[in-house]
Amino acid sequence: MPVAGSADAVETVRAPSGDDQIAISAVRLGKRFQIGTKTDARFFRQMLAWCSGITNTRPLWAVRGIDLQICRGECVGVIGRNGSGKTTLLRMLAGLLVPTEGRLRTYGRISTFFNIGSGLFSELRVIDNIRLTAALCGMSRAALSRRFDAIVAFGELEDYLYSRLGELSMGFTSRVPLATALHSDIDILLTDEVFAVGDTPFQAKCLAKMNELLKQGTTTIMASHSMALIKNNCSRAICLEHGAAAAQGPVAEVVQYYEHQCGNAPVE
Amino acid sequence: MIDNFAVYANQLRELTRCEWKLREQSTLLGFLWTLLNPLLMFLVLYMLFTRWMGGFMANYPGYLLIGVVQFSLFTTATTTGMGSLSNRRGIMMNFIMPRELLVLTTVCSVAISHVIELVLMLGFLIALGAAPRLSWLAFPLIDAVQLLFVTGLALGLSVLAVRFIDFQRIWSIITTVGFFLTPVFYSTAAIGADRQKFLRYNPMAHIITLARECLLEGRFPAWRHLAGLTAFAILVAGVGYAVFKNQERRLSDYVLS
Repeated sequence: MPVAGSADAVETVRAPSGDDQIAISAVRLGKRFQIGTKTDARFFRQMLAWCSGITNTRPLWAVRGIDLQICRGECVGVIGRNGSGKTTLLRMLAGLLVPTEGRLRTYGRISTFFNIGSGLFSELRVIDNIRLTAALCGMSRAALSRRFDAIVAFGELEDYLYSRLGELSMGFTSRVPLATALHSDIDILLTDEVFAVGDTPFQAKCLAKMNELLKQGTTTIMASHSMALIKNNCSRAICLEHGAAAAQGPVAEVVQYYEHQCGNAPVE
Repeated sequence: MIDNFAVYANQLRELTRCEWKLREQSTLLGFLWTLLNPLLMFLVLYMLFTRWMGGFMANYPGYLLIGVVQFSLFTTATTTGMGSLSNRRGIMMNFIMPRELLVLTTVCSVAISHVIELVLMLGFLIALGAAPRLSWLAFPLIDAVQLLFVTGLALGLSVLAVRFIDFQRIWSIITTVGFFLTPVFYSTAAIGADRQKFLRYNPMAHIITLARECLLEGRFPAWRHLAGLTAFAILVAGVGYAVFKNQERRLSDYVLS
């Protein structure tokens, strides 16, 4: 079970806007989890462990010592093998996880494109889920009314609005939250392998929309295993290994480093 | 600040709508299924106790119905509220929003069902011969106090439920025991005077008693009694909210474990 760090070691600040061009600033950022068996989450086991001081868990630093400074309008890639800490880092930057140590400052409205379909209600209609996603992405009802047709057209959902979400194929199910979220107001966009869903034309449409956002000056941090996606969209990248930054800098160099590292191991 | 409030209000409204639809499945039959639990409870208890107590108490069906409906609100709101964080972990781990909205959403959806139950209950009371009285106007106040009380409990319990995975089962046992320790199907007069003092420490006993006074006996609640209960509900809501906010930073960690 994860534990939060001491309050003294952590500083997280989220402000609507900053004085300078910095969108995200992280210093010595770290996240420690206590991993072990799930049985420890039982009430009486917890009490027993608390009384005896004996637990069968161990600390695991999913991310440690990350220094990162991202300017407004920049697109930064996060790469690394499974379990290297990409998702944990992004979740900390989004404020969904609290760092165990370090200092984090973010300026602007953050939108997260992680596993956004997992929060939806498969028993309800597509139109209900569009409304819900829009609300969760911070879109007002008036804004949704204005953008509704564009969202439906983008996801090609015209024929399925009154179908239950669970009745749709996996590809179409993923279109509902993505099409909606891409039409919300975004200052800082964090994505975690989210464009790997849907068919090729829809992926292309999503990437074109994201490029449009980038041109409008949206700060973007994207985690992906697709080196083509990272190289085509990011100017800088960070490569994580066992939670630490193994390489950081211009995207071509970091991707080369990662591919070289993966040369000794099967690429995922 | 105002912008944020509008965003959160919209999130609460949409989540509540979805939770409500999910509970009721948007069909008349679906809603009847939700009613079935308190209705069956009422019928079983009525059949069991009507011969024993019906002779001693005027309007026992109404007396029983109020107890069952109000206690059902307590059980359903706290049980579903406490499971809301783990049930909605997909939303919690992927969208940036105040976590308490997830708990408030489930309590709100239960409250909507409760309001419909109340309308049916009042219709039933009238059908039994109870004429609407002026004191009925005070009932929404008592109901609001109960909602405040269960919301505070749900907030605190939701933290315990994600911290300890078996706490939902523990709470299920507590509510079952609580049902028998609350005068839902029996009169306070039916138990000995020396044991009645224990009921003083049961907030649900106070709420149900006040509701019965108001709806069946046509008496406005004793304002000191209601004020005391309101202060207690505010205290529970305050403590529940404080516990929730205190643990909010760790909730994602607990959900991930």
